[in-house]
Amino acid sequence: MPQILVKLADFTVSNDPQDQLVVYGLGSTAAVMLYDREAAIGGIAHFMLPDSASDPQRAREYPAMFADVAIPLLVETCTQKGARRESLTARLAGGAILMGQGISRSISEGNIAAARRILGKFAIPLTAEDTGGSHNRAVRMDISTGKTLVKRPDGGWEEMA
Amino acid sequence: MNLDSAIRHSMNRLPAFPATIHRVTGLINNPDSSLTELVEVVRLDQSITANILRMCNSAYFGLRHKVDNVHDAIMYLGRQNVVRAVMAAGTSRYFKSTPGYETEARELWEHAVGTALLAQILAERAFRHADASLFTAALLHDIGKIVLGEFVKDKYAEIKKIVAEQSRSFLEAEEKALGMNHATLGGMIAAQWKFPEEIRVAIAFHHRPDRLQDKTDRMSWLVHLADQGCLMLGIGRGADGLAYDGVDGALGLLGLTPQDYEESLARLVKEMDNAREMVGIVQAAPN
Repeated sequence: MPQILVKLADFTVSNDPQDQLVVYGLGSTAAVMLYDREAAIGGIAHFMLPDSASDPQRAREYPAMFADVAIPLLVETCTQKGARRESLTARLAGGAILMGQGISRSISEGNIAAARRILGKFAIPLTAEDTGGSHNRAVRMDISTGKTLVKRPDGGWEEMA
Repeated sequence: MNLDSAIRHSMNRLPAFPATIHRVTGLINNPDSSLTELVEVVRLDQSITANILRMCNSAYFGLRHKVDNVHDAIMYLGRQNVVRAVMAAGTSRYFKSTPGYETEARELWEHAVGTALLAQILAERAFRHADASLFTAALLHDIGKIVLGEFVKDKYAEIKKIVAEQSRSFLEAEEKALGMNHATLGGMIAAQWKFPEEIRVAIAFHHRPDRLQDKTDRMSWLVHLADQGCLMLGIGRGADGLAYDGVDGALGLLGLTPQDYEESLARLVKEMDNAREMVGIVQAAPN
């Protein structure tokens, strides 16, 4: 099965049943995974900051860097490939927080809050979430079935139902 | 042999630091040195020469001309960038897979380069200036892991238990289980390799800059913030992961705001793209 790596500040949409989309290295960053079961189209956006208002120029260069640009772009690309907006469901992973009084909390929590808010605006139901904590994550999604797995801290993979 | 002696013994067995690098920094800091002298010194080390030529044409250094020889490379880079290029070209050879941290050589190196670039971005934002010694300190901040890795591996279960059950950082758990942490050991390695004090201190205190006597020492704080930023973005990850105790007030101490930090992380993504050749000088392990 061809694995397509979704890099940081990037997004990918596929309708090829052979594909598996993968994100490694979710720290305080987050991944929104959309899937339309009827059309068998799915996509992942891997963003790192909640809001592009601070850096609109960077957002033009890396649209998937910011949740507020990345998620609408992901929805639009899925529908352009043939997904129906009403059929899309979402999953969300990431937003881990470093220990102590560090600086990651506002960014991590901001990423998760922004994702929930924007998905809500699109009325896309969030069916599974694996967020917070202080461990790295990885996620992968099979395009043929929409089956999505998240890597647990002990190294095993668990389905995000 | 007790654990402490075993760790020191393992450190002493590290290969000597490439003489070429210290000679280059010496020449750079000497205003009377000539370009010809620099070129001659760099050419003595084939691995450094090859890596420099590979890196020089990356967008990171922004040279307008394509270079294919050391003379042109050094002429166009400028003195501070020669130090950065030689340091990256010459130290990459020490980055090897570290089983205890579950990190491949390439990942450890990517984290080193990311931290070096982000430390500079933060310094430029805070002080409008970043010198090459900050780049060096940040590049080598985790060098202690290369020696400590084998010992972490032996005590892995115990270290993970301390992290999980006592909510300690991985660094504290290393200290409890091994009597030594990778930052302190990194400072000792930098001393063995005859680095100047500011670089040794920044490496040794990169997790706990608040424990420095001179709390205004900027370099340790910059490396501390850059290290965390890379972990947040998943640039280099290992067994220690996010069990990292960020020191309160680090941004304020450097006069930076959370907004500055976010913008710096965004810029890092661009600079990592520009520095692909620098990341690429350590190859991924063949599967």
